Amino acid sequence: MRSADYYLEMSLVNAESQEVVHHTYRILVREHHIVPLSEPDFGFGGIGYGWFTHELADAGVTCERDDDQTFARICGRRASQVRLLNRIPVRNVGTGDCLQLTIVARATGEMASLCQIVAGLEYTEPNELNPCSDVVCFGPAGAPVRMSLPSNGMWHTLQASLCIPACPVDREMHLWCGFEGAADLTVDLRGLELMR
Amino acid sequence: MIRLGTLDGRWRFKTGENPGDYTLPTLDDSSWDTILVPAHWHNEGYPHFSGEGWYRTHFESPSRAEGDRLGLRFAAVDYWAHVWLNGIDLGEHEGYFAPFMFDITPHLSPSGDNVLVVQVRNPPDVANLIKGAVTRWDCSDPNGNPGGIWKSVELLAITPTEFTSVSTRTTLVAGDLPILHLTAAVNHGRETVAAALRISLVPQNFQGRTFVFEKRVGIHPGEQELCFDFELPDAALWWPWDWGHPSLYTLTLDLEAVDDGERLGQAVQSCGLREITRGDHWSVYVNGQHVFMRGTNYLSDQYMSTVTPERYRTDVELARDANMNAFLVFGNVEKHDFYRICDEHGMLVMQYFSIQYSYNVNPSLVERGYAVLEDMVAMLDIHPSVIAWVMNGEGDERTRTLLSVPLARRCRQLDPTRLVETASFPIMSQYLLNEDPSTHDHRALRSHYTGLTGRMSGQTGANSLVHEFAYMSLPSVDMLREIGIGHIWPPDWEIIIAHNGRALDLSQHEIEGAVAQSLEELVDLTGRYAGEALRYYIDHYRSHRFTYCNGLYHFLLTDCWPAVTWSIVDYQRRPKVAYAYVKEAFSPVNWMPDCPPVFCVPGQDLEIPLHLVNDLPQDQIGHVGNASLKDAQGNTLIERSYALDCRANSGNQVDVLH
Repeated sequence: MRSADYYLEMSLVNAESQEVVHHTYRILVREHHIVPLSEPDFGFGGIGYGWFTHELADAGVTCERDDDQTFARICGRRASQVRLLNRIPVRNVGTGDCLQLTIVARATGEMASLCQIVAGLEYTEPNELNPCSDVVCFGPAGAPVRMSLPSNGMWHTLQASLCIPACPVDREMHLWCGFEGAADLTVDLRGLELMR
Repeated sequence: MIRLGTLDGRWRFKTGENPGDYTLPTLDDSSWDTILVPAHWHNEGYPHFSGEGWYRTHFESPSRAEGDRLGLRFAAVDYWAHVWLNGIDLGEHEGYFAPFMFDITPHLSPSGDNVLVVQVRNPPDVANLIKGAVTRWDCSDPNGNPGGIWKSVELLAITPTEFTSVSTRTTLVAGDLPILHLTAAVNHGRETVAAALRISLVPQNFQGRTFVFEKRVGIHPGEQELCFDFELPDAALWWPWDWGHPSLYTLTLDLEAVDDGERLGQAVQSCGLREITRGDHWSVYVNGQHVFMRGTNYLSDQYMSTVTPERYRTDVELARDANMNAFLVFGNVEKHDFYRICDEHGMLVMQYFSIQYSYNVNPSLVERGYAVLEDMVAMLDIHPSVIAWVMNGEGDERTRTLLSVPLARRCRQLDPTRLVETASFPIMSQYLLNEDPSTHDHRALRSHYTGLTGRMSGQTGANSLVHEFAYMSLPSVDMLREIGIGHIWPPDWEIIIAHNGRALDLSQHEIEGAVAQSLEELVDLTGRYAGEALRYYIDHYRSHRFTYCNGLYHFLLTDCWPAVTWSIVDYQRRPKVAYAYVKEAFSPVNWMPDCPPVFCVPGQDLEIPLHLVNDLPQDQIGHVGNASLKDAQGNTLIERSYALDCRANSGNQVDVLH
C-alpha cells in the first residue's frame, strides 16, 4: 500500500496586533478507505434513541440497546430486511468502481434460522421537488450483495464485492448494511471494512 | 417577603412507605437516621437510592411583625414533595428544580414547637418523571436518580402587601429605542389604598444613565397586575459578549401609600434590556442583529446540590475562553447562579425543558408537564441570557405530537417574547420525509455524529441550527485514575463503558493509522481525533454561516459525573485535548478551509475552498492569510498568501486551493 501524510497549514496575521494564529490539518493519502467501527459516527450511539430508533420503528422492528455499545445489535421481529447501519458516507468512488467489503458479524437464533447479511451502496439525490428542504433522497448504486451468516452465535468474517455499474456524477455515496432472516434473530455487527 | 431564617441542618430521615404514623407530630423519630438538608440523599449515605424518603424536623415559630403571615418556602425538592405541618396536610409539589411555598400561619402550634414532615418520592420509574437528562441520559451515571430536599427550606414573613412577581420585556422601536414593558403582580391584604409606585433602573455593571419613573396606582384587596410601558432613550442594551457589553440594570419597585408615606412593598431584581426575534428557520436576531451562535451543550452535574457559584463561573468562563457565545442547557434546569453568571458574561442560553427522549404520553403527563413548564418559565424569566425554550430533545414522533406540541403552545402563551420550539431531531431520521412542515419547524434543529471519514449528508438547503455533534474521547489520565483505571494498560474497557464510554474498544488499535502504546498515548489520540473532527465541522458550518447554518452547538462542554464522554472538559473541569481545537475553531474571526480532505487516494486532485469568517460587528481590514500544503518531510508543495478583508458579521470564500 502506498501511503503518505500531507499537511495543510493555515495562518492568519492580525492587522492591528500582528498576532499570528496557526492551524494545521492532516491529509492522509491511502489506497483504501477503512471505516472502523471504533469511530463513534455510525449512529451506534443512537441505538435505543435518536434517528436509528425511528427508522427501525418504521420497519416494524424493535432494537435492543447494547449496553457496552461496542457493536450494533438488532433483533428482528418479523422476516424482513432490517438495516443495521444506514448510510455511512463513502468517499472517492464512482461509476465502474468495485469495492471489497469485509464484515465481522454474528447471528443468534434458532438453529434452523437463516440469516443473510445484505449490503449496498446508495448515492444522494437532492430533492428536486423541495429544493429548500434539508431532506435528501437516495438512489441505489448497483445491486445489493448478500452473504450467508450462520446463526450460531459465533463471530464470522464475511466478504463480498460491491460494484457500481452507473451512478450520477458528483453525488455522495453511502454504504448501508442490514440483514434478512427469521423473527427470532439477533444480529450483531462488530467490524466493517471497505477497500478499493 | 422577609427572610426570617432557614430550617437547613440535620433532619430525621427514613426510607420506605409510611406504616401510618410518620406524619403524626407525636411520633418518636429518635431512632431514624439523620440527614443533611439541603442535600441529595445520594450524597448523604443513600447512593443510588430511588423510592420514598421521609424527612422530619422541629422548629420554633419565629417572631414577626404584627400583621405579617408566615411562609414556608422550599427552594427545590426532587421529585414529589408532600408536606405536613403539625399533622396538617399542607399540599404537594411536583418537579425537581423549582421553589414552592405554603402559608403556614393558621397551622402553627400554639406552644411554638412545630413538627414539619416531608415525604419525598423519587421513584425508579424515571420514564414517568419530568426530570430530563439528570436521570435519562447517556452521559450521566446510569444508576443515578437524584432525590431529596436539595435546596434550602426557608421561613418567610409575608407582609400584607407583596410583589409576588415582576416581569420585564423589551422591544425596540425604530431600531434602537428600547421600550420596557413591566408587569408587576401585587397581592394586597388590606383595604384599597392609593399608592405611588416608584420604578428605578440603576446601571449595575457599567457607567450610564439612571432611569426613575413614578406612577399613581390604586391597590385593591387581593391579586392584581400593574402593567406599564416606559421609553428608555439612551439606555444601554444587553448584548452577547462578542457584540457588545452585557449591560445589566438593578430594577427596584417601591410601593408607598400616598396619604401617610407607609412603604407597602418593595421588589429588587436584575434586568437586561434586549429584544429577541427570529427570522426564517432558526436565524436568531438579538436587538435586531443576526447573531451566529457558537455554542456548547451543557449540564453541570447530575447532583446539582454540589454545584457552587464558583463552579458555574468556572464553566461559563471555560466556554467564554473557548470563544463560545452560547449554551444549550440540555434537558435540565440549572440553578439561578448559572443564568445570573451567563447574564453577566453575555452568554446566550437556549433552554431545553426537562423532557428527554420519548415518553408514554397520556393526558395526565401533559397536564403535569404544563405545571412544571410554568415553574421553569417563571423561574428563568428574569434572565436576559435565556433567549429560547425547546420542549424536548430526541423524543419520538408520538412524544413530539402528543407532548411537545401542546407544551410549546402553552409556552408561547406564557412567554411570547422568546423563541419556542417543539423539539430537536437528528437530521438523518427517515420519517422526517413524512412530516407536515406546516405544523412546526423543529427539523431546523438537527444533529450529526458523522466522523472524519465521511462528509455530512443531507445538510444542504434549510438554514438551520445544529444543536448537537460530537466525538468521544478519553479524559486525562488523572481523571481515569479517579475513575479507577488510570494505571491499567491495556485499558479496562468494562469500567470505561460503565462510565458512559462506548465504541472506543477498537480505537486503541487504530485511529487514522496510529496505534497507542500507553494510556497517555490513547488519551492523546482520542483527544486529537475528537478535536480535529470537531474543528472540521465547526469550520464547515461557519464557512456556510447564514446560508445553511445559523449557529452550532457542539456536544458537550463538561461531564456531569466522572465519565468518559464526548465532553471537552472533564468532571474536575480540566480541559481535555479537544478543548484547544474547539477554542481555535470558534475564534470570532477565523481563516479556515472548508472540508479539507482527510482521506485521499493516490492521484486524486485536491480542491480546498478557503474561507474567512467574521462574527464580530466590526469590519476586519488588512489581515494577512497564508495557506500552504506540505508533505511529511516538511517540503512545501503549494504556498499562497492573501490580503484579507471581511465586512462586519459576514464571511466569504477567498480562494480555492488546487
